[in-house]
Amino acid sequence: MWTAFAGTVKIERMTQEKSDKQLSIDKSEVTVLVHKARTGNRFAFNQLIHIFQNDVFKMVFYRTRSHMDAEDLTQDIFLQAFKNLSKLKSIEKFKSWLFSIAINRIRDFYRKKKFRDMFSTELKTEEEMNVREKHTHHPDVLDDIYKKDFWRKVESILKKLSAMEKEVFTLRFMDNLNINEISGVLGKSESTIKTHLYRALGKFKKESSLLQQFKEVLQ
Amino acid sequence: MNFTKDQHLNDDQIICAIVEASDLPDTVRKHLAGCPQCRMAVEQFEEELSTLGKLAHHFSPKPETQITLPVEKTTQSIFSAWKWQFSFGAAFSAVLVFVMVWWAGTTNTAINGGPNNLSGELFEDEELMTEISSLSENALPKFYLDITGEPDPETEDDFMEFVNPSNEDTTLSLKNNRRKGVKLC
Ligand SMILES: [Zn+2]
Repeated sequence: MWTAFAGTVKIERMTQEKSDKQLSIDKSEVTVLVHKARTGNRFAFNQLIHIFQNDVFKMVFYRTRSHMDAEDLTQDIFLQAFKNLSKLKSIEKFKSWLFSIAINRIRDFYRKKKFRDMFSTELKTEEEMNVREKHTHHPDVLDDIYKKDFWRKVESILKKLSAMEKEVFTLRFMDNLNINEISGVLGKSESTIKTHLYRALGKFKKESSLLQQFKEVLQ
Repeated sequence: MNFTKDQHLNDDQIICAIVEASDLPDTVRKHLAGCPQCRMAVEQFEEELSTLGKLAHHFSPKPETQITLPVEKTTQSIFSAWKWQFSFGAAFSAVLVFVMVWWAGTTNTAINGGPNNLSGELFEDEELMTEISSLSENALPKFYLDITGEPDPETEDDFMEFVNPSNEDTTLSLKNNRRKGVKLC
């Protein structure tokens, strides 16, 4: 499976130019929609939801690994964005702004969760947690096993990184944001982002054995 | 940085090529452009990272809940505007009624009032005073006076005369007659 994915990369590279053009069109479209939404156009904001819901949802899921929490948090993030859209200084940076809301909301979620767990005597096993999750189990059992194993491996790799390195790495290679966008999301300079990314990649590269196992599991 | 043509990129330089290729020194960039081995090393690492992103996307669920925005504020503002209009209308109606009543009173006084009506007013005053006097003598209406047996100022004298006829004058006349020698039967 890993090899199959790798095989498609070359084809994707050939279409990279086309994607970039598409991306630039999307960006201008987004800017127009943001401008309209700021004037109270709900239809325009719904269009923005349509464009970014999947990305925001996945972003939350990568950090919570919970379908239900990802659904709830995504709803909260868009509501917060809707209420505070007038506060957005630069409409060209809507995506970074939206993702920064998401990052803050996730941090807030973990703070509350930590507080709740302090007073909760109930210990939940992994299986119990999975039962709570709707649609966690894919119809394909093998795919479900791959899925769990994949996230376990990713978790073990990311554990080696510091909080900031982990965040920058995830934003760059899982959320597919560029350096400039990450800089906007985290409110740090581009050189700081590059430094963290550089360190994160150094650690990631050293985990080649884990990656090898990971490839085997997918094959 | 010393970098010879025969030297290949190390891990740090490969990472640097992925983070920001333009940050690499010119000599390293030139080598990378002309060395298939180093280019492959960079591409391979890029592919691994790209695949990681694709797998993460593949092994995560899709959103199923539709995002619902809060109730449109315009509906609320229409409602509040309607409420405001209703309140204003009610207040305006009250003022209008008051003005109309006041105006009607003023007009009536202007039509019926004046010096010509003075005698009429005096007559009404007299009637009123008479009524008050009769009420002060007995507040009950005539019908209730009959029931309660309360003395009616009009019939009292006749009734008393009937029950106990006055003989004061007769006595006096008898005495006078005896004095005069008049024979009584
Ligand atoms: Zn080389």
